[in-house]
Amino acid sequence: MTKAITLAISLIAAPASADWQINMNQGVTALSREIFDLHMLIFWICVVIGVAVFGVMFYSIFKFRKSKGAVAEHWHENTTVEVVWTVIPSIILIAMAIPATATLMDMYDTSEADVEIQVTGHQWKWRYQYLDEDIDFFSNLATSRQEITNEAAKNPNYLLEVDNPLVIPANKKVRFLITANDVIHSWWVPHFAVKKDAIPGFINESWVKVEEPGVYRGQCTELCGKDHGFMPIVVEVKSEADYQQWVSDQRAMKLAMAGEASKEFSMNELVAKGEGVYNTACAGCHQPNGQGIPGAFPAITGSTIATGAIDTHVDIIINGKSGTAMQAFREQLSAVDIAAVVTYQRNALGNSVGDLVQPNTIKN
Amino acid sequence: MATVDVDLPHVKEEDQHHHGPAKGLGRWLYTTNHKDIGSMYLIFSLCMFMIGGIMALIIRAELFQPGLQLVEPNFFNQMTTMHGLIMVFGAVMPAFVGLANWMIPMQVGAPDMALPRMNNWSFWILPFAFLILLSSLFMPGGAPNFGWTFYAPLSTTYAPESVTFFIFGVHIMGASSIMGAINIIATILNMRAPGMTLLRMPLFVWTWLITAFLLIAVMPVLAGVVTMMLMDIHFGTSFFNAAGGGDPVLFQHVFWFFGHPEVYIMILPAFGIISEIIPTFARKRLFGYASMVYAVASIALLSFVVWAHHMFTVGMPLVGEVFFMFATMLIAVPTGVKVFNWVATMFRGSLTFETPMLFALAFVVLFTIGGFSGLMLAIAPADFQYHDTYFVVAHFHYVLVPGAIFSIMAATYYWLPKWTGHQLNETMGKIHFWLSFVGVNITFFPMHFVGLAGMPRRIPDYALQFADFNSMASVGAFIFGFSQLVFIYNVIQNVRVGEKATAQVWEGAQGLEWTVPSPAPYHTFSTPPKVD
Amino acid sequence: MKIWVLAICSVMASFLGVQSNANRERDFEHGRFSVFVVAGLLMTLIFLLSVYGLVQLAMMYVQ
Repeated sequence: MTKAITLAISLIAAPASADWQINMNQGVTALSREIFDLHMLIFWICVVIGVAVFGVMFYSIFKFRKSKGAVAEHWHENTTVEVVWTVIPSIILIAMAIPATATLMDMYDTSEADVEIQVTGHQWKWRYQYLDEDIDFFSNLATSRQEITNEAAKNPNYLLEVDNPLVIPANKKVRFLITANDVIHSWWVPHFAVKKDAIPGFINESWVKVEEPGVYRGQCTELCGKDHGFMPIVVEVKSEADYQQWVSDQRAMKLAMAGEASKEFSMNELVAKGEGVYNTACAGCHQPNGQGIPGAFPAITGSTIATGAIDTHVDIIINGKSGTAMQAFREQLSAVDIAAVVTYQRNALGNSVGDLVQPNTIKN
Repeated sequence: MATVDVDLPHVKEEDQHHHGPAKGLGRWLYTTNHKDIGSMYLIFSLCMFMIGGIMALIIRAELFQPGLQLVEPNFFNQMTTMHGLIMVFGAVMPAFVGLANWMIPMQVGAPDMALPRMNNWSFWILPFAFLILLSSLFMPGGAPNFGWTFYAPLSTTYAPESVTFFIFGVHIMGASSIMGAINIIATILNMRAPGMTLLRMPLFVWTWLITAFLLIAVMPVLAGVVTMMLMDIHFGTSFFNAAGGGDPVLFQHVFWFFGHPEVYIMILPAFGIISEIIPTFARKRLFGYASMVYAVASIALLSFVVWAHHMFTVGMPLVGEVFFMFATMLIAVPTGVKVFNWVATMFRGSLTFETPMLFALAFVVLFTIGGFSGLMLAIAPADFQYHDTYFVVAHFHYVLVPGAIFSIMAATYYWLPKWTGHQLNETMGKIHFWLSFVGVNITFFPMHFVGLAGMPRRIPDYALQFADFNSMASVGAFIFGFSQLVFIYNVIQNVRVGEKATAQVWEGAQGLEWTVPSPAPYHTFSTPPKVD
Repeated sequence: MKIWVLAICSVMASFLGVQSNANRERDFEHGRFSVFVVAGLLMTLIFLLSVYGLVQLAMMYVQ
């Protein structure tokens, strides 16, 4: 019933910020503009051919009607005409292939990069590792569950917002090494014209050089399971100075996190913190209420792991369970996060084991 | 094709009494009659079209507005997967096999298919294949949810348990297709009436002959790839698992080596149908018959060397990208020739616009639009922007819905009077046509726009900027979906009542099938006609 | 020998998508099926190699 009401509301309340974009984005790099030009070139070639073919066709439809007294002629072959209308498109196509090949070669030239970032697709989030800096973080969808289920108004960046965007410097050649942890994903930012499949066990390369600082948004474009539609990509392009500032901020944050891991937390602190972690990292499969999806994802509520020995519970979160969708969170969550989420799962969602685990006892 | 002059053998009244259909359900279970089996294929395909259509409407209803309203993402993925599988393997392919069963023996002057018992079997295993596939919807963990292209490892390591049933189902439908293809080849090569030389065969027969060879060539590849999946899932191999030394991209190569010829399997018989209908209603022989036959043959050969254009973003070497881009662009040329020839057939003809012709004309225009977007997709650098977006969804729906499906509807309207003996209800046919035509375009044209603007395919929910065109597409989908009820009503009414049709049915119709009475007797051409 | 030349000509015509009715009748009246199959496969191979050559050429030209 509530579902019916929310549905009714969402049908009446039409989205405010919809627009009528009908063409490809020109993008913000030299390469993306080159691709846009190729796209327009082949589009206009199609339009010209289409106008000619459909023109003759509609002319025939209007002119040679039986109702207007048209009598069919008897010819049914003309090899010369056929050869002409075959050879001309072939030549157009071959001519088209030359600029396309040139663009393709630019796209494949990943040499002499200034910054190298490894992009790893996970179900259903992205991990960014800066190979030259000691920076490594996950990027999760930031849109709230309420917006998705139509219980709250949708913000303009609905489904295209993340907690930790990828940050890259402007006017530098950034090389992406793209891979995946579980299934195949695909990393796409339309404004960069960069789309590359992220394939487990293999590394693909791509690159970008953005001229103007700004925020650019994209999505995963290879079906990767349940939340394929909910793993966006946000790239913040910063000026060189801002980028350096961001890098040093990241370093400082990392130190602060390390300090936090040795702190003692109270049960309430852990549960409160754990709820946030649960909703980002676990609720996608195990559901916000902890009931899971029967047959696909087990429930947390009343589960033997979440109510059994705490070491086993911690272990499955750190190491995952091979052969299932339960991934290893060793690198995704900090010790504090793991302690918090374990404590939360044991003392909320209908469970009340009563024990807690401190971050300093979690050995990664 | 060549003008056919026929000495119709005298049909003896008592022959029909002795060899009429059996009574009751047994007629349908045990039948080896090509007309019965053809009808069953067509009815089966119509049922599957409806089931797949309901799934499409569930998808479009969910996508009507941003946000999740009706279904969970996991179920949404099951719907996209099952919709694709059912439409490709359950609706389009059996419909063409049904048409082949009905029409090929009548068009070549044969009394029946060459292998009638196998014909019965190849039909009757199909419903079981699809029952197995559909039953997976009710299994714990749900139906296959990895897309109709079932890319590993999502379809192996990360698949729901029902994947094993899916693999079994695919094996059965593959066996059915291969047997159907063998039967069609055997019939065409051995059962032609005296004088019906290969060069006189109608284009529908030609396209099906070549399609049947394609089927025999690639269905085993599909069987191979699902068997490799089965081994990975249950027997510990690592064909597609990098951790065990395999390669997930290998899956895509093998799949598309099947998948690209499969695309032509779904469109070549359509070319044949359109090449029958346009000359009939233009009252003029098909322009460039020889070119049509040769171009179909070359399209079939070349379809084996372009598969990786579905995989431009997997990180192929540069040489591979350029090679598949060139090869794909060149294959567009013989395809374009067909469109030019249809238009040239209409030029200086004497056109009328009965329902089959309307569908055929819509086919030519809309299939060509699908061909244009295909040409755009062939440009590898631009494909990086198009790949796996709604632009691709728009493209392949334009070639499959107003392409393959419209050709099947055109064929149904064209040959229905021959099957049932009743003249078509033109008003109903035209209502169905215009609703479908408008519905299809409202549904699929906006998908080009959202795709170019950046909407990925196979997502249950989308960013706000795509909202308007998605609502529009959903409205169109419901118009198109419900207008098919007009089609069903029209066909049922035609079977039950209607003015008596003549043998010729259409003024401009040429060919052997129009020389037998309408409805076609249970056994036709028991004595071969003589074609001069 | 002549039938091979004719078959190859016909296959080339088919790759272009254009064939005249006179040639078609000649093919079907005098040609042999197996010759056409072999010629078709051979020409597909040649097509592949020539596209590959074209690709190499294009890449040299662009560089």
